[in-house]
Amino acid sequence: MKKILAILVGKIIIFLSPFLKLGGGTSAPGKITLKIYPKLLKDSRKIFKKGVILITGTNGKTTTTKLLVEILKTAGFSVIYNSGGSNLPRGIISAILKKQPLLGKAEVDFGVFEVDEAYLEQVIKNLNPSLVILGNLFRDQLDRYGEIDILAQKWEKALKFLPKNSFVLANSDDPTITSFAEKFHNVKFFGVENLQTFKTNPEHIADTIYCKKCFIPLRYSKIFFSHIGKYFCPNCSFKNPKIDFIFKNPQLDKGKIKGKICFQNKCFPIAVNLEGTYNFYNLIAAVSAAFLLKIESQVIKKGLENFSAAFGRQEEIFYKNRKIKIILVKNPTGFNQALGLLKNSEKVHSILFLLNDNIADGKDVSWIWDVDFESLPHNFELFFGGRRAYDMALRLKYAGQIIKKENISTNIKAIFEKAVSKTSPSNTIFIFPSYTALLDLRNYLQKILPIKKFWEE
Amino acid sequence: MELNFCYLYPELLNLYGDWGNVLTIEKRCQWRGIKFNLETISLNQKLEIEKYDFFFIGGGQDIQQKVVAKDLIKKGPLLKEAAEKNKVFLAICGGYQLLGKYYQPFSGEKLEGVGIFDAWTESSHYRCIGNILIESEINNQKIKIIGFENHSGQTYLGGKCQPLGKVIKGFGNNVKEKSEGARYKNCFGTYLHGPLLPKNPQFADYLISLALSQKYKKNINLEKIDDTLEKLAFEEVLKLYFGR
Repeated sequence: MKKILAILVGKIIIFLSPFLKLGGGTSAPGKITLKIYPKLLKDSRKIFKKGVILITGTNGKTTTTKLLVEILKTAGFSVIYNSGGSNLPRGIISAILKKQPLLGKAEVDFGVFEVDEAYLEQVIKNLNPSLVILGNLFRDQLDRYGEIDILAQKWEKALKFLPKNSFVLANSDDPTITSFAEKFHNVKFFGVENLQTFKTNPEHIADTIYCKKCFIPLRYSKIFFSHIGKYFCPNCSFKNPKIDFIFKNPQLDKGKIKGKICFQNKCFPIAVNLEGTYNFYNLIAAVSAAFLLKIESQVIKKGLENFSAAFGRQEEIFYKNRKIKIILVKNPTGFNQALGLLKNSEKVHSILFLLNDNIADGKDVSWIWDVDFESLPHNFELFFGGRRAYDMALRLKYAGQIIKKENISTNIKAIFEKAVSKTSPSNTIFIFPSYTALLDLRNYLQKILPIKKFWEE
Repeated sequence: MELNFCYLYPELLNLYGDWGNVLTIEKRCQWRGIKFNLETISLNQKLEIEKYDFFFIGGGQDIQQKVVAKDLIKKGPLLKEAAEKNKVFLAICGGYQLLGKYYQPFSGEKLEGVGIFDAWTESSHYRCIGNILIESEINNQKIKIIGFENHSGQTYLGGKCQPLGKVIKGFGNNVKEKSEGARYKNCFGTYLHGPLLPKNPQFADYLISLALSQKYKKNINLEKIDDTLEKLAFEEVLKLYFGR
């Protein structure tokens, strides 16, 4: 009885959400239903005929999820997934409630859910996934999570609760993950080969990773970004595990990622509407998962061709004849990668930084000082918005940029319009918002533009 | 004029953007035409204290703190000597704890500290997290200092060192007292991230002038530079979190 009540209440809240201004109904319904019937998430496991796939990591969860979902849909499967990045347990149950008929007799092929890094064990215990993807582990909201080492330990523990036949798909090029993942009995690795742009020293001294056994710094023959690359311990045998699913010759070409995907010595070429080195990994992660789910390469290729970027992840819109690119930034690694996209874009005139310090953004904004703004060229006009607009402006001042006081405002709507008006038509504005600043921006954009509400994807 | 800066264990103790403090000192020197010379010193590297005027050590995870503590067995006495010679130290969070007498983590043995501060720290279950406002007295002037703290360690001060300041709102050294940080001669320890110096330029300049005065053996007054943006950032946080 309680379960039916919980589902009913949840569905009513979802229906009423737009009128009650509760956001997209991607979180509140779940929160309330779980209060009424806490076992709802566990019970919902039986809806999924072919299994549940979980995707976690510091960056790239939403993009990896969207890629995999696109491939599965192209293959003709029915999928429930959490879009809008609502990746706490209540977000997952909200996504399920939305698509599930009233009395839970639905049958859906797959559930594909991105999971917040701190909740992996809880969700594994409830949903018994057949596949878990571990994308990467970077320093993120330290006031919420604490420390990378603790998260790595939590993940190692979480994997112990996986059903015996389940698989783990892990990033071979991330030593914070492989140090524990390679011990798991059913692990497969994805990674890149022949990526031409690399460094041999860490970008930031903070990216030094220590061998877990020897406690000396790992050395790299190639660093692609942050601590991702081809590494080895000078003392013991720890290094990149052999890659099962390889992305060969990945490159960026006119707004697309191109290269060859290889699995069991068979390769096929791909081209996807995505940019950024970090997306090489999100791409191969999703493709690897598709292979493990026995999807044919032709279908995978087609799915990738159908793909378009998710909400706030390289979103491109046009307003008053200016091109606007919005890229969500959540932590130093993600921000560095986002800044890297400026190089490949033409006619970029302005950059608008939007920084909030709500819980979902991270209340401590110290992290912006670990972003490499020092290498930002000086030919952009800079604008600052959000609750901590002044902190961001201060950071850029210390990075050697010229800061105009009139380009700073905590009012996102006002500063957005100002950035537009001060950018010549047919030029591009890049916007880098933190999570809730992106939601604030979107709320405003939805009133003035015919863009999708993020929860409608 | 030149400032010789020593950044200790940068690849181990670097959480929460603490590097921004180093950048702040660097820029505030360069904007005044003062040459800023940075050297990093880490594990198993020789430390020659005579070369430096200013030492900085940041915060880190428990594992990193353990490794640094081991290395400090060798370097500690040298750092203590530098402190006695009135060189400037700024230590944040984990670094602050290690410059005290000891740090008792949750598991494992007590970590001996350098002993510059008459202070000791014990792990606890308290989560001292949030924006913090303190009042400090520097150069006979009362100033407000703003930051963000995030620690479960509870630090207690003995009689031989002063706090950095008095907590107006926030936790500070421990949940029982309203003191924050520590000061001994020209050494300053604190739990404040933010990072500390960018929004508190008066304090940053105070540290620079202390270091230069000690180096050139005369009172150095720094020329004023434009801190409008710093003040705006400070006031914005005051408005958001401290109702002012």
